[in-house]
Amino acid sequence: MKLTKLIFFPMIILVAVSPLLAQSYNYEEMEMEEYNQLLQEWQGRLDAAQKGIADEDARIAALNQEITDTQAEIDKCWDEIYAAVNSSKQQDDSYRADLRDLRNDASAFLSMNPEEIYGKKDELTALRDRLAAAQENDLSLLSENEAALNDIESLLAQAEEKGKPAEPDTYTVNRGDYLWRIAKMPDIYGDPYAWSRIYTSNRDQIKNPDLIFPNQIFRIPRDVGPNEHLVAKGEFLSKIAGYGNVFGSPFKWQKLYEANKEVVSDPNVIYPYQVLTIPRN
Amino acid sequence: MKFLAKNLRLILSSLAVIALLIGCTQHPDEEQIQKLEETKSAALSAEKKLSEKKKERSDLEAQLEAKKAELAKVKAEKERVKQKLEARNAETQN
Repeated sequence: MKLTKLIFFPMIILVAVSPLLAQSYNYEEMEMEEYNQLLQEWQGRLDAAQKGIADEDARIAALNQEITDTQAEIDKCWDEIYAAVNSSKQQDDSYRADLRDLRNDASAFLSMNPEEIYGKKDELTALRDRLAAAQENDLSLLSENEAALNDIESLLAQAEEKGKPAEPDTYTVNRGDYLWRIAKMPDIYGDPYAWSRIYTSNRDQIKNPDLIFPNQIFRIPRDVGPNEHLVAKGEFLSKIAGYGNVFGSPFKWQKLYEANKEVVSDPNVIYPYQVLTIPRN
Repeated sequence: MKFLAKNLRLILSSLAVIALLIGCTQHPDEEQIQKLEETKSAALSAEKKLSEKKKERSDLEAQLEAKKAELAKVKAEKERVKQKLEARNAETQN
């Protein structure tokens, strides 16, 4: 009985005072002047808020329209781009999917060791062909596609570089070989212009670059030593002399020429893939 | 005591006037209270809705800015592709 009282009495009190708690003001003591002032204040706030809502609704409608118009303009622009490259959105999606596959295939090579890469060089060449075909497609001109192609190009170059240590460091001359042809072979340098590198590295065996013999074994250098420089396309003696790791001054080109007179007959003419000796004294 | 007796009528009439004044002061009735409460509640609700609308408008403004930036990017892309295509065609012809 006591427990029932303990529970019920507070509840009855709470129910009795709840209307008073729900009210915001003490109306018992409120005078009409104060009441009117409050009513006017709340009515003012209500009117202002309703006007604000109407204004916002108008702005929202205008913004939605502007967004729709802008999106339509974006879509029109894309349609014009696809028309220019004789393609469509669907074809672009398919092209991008192909690029993703190509990228995955190229990435897979990077996880292989050099011997594995060398063993699968045909597959690597096939990837290069796929990349070349993709680059020929006009969809390759789109920025995102161009970036993806550059990425794939870089991955393939890294894979090729990684596979190089497994490549043979000597080559036995066969009947019908000539330096240009040997240098062009994918196992050697894959670039016929690199013939001079074979020539300069095997001067002890090659007296005349146009005259090589079957069964001669040529060294195929893959790296250059710390006191050597591999000439790249567009380089000249003063430019090389100016490199920080050479002399750091283009005016010292003569020193470079003097040290390489054996391979450089005219200081104004040097060739890509020539290996120049850098005198350090 | 003499003073009280003398002025009793005045005191009583003053008290009566005060009581009358207090008794006659107007307070809001139930209907008025309900009106004030409803107005207040409607105002608070409308202010909350206004705040939501402002947020919605702000989100849409940001969305529009993003769309405008996207449009500028696509226009630039269109020009770029056009130039690259012309260069490629010229290269092919050569």
